Amino acid sequence: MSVAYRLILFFPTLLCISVLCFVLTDIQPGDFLSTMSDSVLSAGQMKNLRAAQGREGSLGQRYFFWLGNALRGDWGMSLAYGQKVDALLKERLMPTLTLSVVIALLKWLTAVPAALYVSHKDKTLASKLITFLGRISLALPDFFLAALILWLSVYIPFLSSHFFLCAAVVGMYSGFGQLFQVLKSHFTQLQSQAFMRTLAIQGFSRRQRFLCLLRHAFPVCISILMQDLPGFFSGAIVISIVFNLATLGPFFQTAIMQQDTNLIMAIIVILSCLVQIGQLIADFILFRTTTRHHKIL
Amino acid sequence: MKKSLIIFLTLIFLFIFIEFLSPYSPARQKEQYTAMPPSRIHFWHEGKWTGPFVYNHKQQPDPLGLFTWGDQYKILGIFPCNLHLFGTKEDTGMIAILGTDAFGRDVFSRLLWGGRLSLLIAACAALLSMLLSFHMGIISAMNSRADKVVQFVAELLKTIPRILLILVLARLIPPTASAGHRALSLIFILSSLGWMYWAKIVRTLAYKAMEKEYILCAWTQGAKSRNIMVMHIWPLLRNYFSTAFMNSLPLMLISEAMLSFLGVGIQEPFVSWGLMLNQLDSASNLMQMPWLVSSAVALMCTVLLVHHWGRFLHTEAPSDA
Repeated sequence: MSVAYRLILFFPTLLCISVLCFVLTDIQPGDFLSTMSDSVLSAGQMKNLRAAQGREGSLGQRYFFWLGNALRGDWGMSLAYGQKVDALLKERLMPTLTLSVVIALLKWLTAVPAALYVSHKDKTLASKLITFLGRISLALPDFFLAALILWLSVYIPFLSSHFFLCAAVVGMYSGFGQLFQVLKSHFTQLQSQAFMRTLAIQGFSRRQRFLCLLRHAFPVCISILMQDLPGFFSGAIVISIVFNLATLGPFFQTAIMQQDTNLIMAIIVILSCLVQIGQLIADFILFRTTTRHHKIL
Repeated sequence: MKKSLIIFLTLIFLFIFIEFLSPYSPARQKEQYTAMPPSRIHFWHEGKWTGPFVYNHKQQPDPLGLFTWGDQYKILGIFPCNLHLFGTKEDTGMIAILGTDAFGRDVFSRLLWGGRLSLLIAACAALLSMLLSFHMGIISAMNSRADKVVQFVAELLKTIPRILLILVLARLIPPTASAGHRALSLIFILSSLGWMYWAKIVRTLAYKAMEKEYILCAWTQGAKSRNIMVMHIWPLLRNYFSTAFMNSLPLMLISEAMLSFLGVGIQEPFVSWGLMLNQLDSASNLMQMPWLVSSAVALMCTVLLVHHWGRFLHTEAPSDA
């Protein structure tokens, strides 16, 4: 998909996401106020609160009440936490982003060299070991690895004081397998292409051929990064739910359990928006690199 | 193909007779045997040969036997039966190959029952999502207007972080839902969020397939697009179906386990591997009952096996199309 197309579709996509998620959270049986017992609030208070929260009227009216406020920058109150949603987001968005970026960086920094090495020399013991590790990482679910470390941390005090680091490592390891598999197959394909064989026949040194491979691997990596972007936050969120880290993950779980529509909507819309921005940037880089790449050839 | 058929038939056989193979029903609690380590099978009691037996909670020998009578169950949900492959001859004893959990339930039986439900959900979800993705992929290759809609929806679903959407959808299942209802909902949720990735690949493959002369010929002679889809394009892509299925199966297995682990998937009194992991919720539990990890080990082994089998199918499949 081209950059212009994505730019045009940016806001319609966000709008559709908000409609979809609003409908999905709204049609759930009951709402936050109905989970409270009658003794806490009288029927009149309940009605007033509902009206103040925009929980009165039809589904369409409720959605537009929410949308109107959100467009003015007012995400509403989080009923589960009794605070403004913006305040909650301000506190938790940065750690979420940091954790996701750290996981992605670690994952790419390990998977790219590993895939390059394995596609370059596939018969050595080290490359067999890397392939094996990749396979195990595909089979070991991230939430279980995180839970295991959480349980072990009772006995190893070092772990319990570095949960953020543990989360990053768990995220890296569970993301590594998938990424490594994809990168490896692409790099192996690149290796067997005609231009690489031509370079070998024409007597270019191993180092020069490797540099050439690197140059051609770059656009491949960017396009894989694009496919990988939708899962950018998922790993971090699951792991931080298990570790109960100060990110949006545990917030989202609480919000889901207590049907806190405002918080659910804010988290989904903001994270989807970030994913879209990431895709735009990746699209732009891909556009630049592929054109230059064609000029060279 | 023969090897695959054998594995498939064995799986079907196991699925039908799992109640017979497991010594207890998964909800059966024996209060005397809470948190019991895997039972040791003895043969000699006070220096005398007595055949295989286990010691019961009163330290009395309790002989083991094949084809014993135990908890009532129904084969295929129809035929009532209470024969089990193995078990103790008296109900006072307990044979737990993989130990028992904190409620005195047999982990081995729970592992078998849970595995059946987990695999069933994952297989159905993978099958449904593959059917959806092949349908969407072929349609979007054949019709440019449909292509735009399908691509937009796929991009939309891919933009929302997957875990958030899964949790929102899983909350839609009413808390009072029966096990069948819950499992069916999980299948729909997982499959509706799994088709986008393959639809794109299928679309590319279908584009390539449509360049064949006989398909062009069929187009120009005014064949119905549905007929072209079913009779010409589908046979060319059929080989990819099994590969795609085997690739999405592990993802579905792990997703189901994750949902049950987080408490929004399968719930008591039914069992799945994720739910069994959920019960292992603290360090002291892990240290006291390390055998509860067996469900995670089973999950890992299954995923590894499926990957292996998937690669086998991939190399077996003829590579035309």
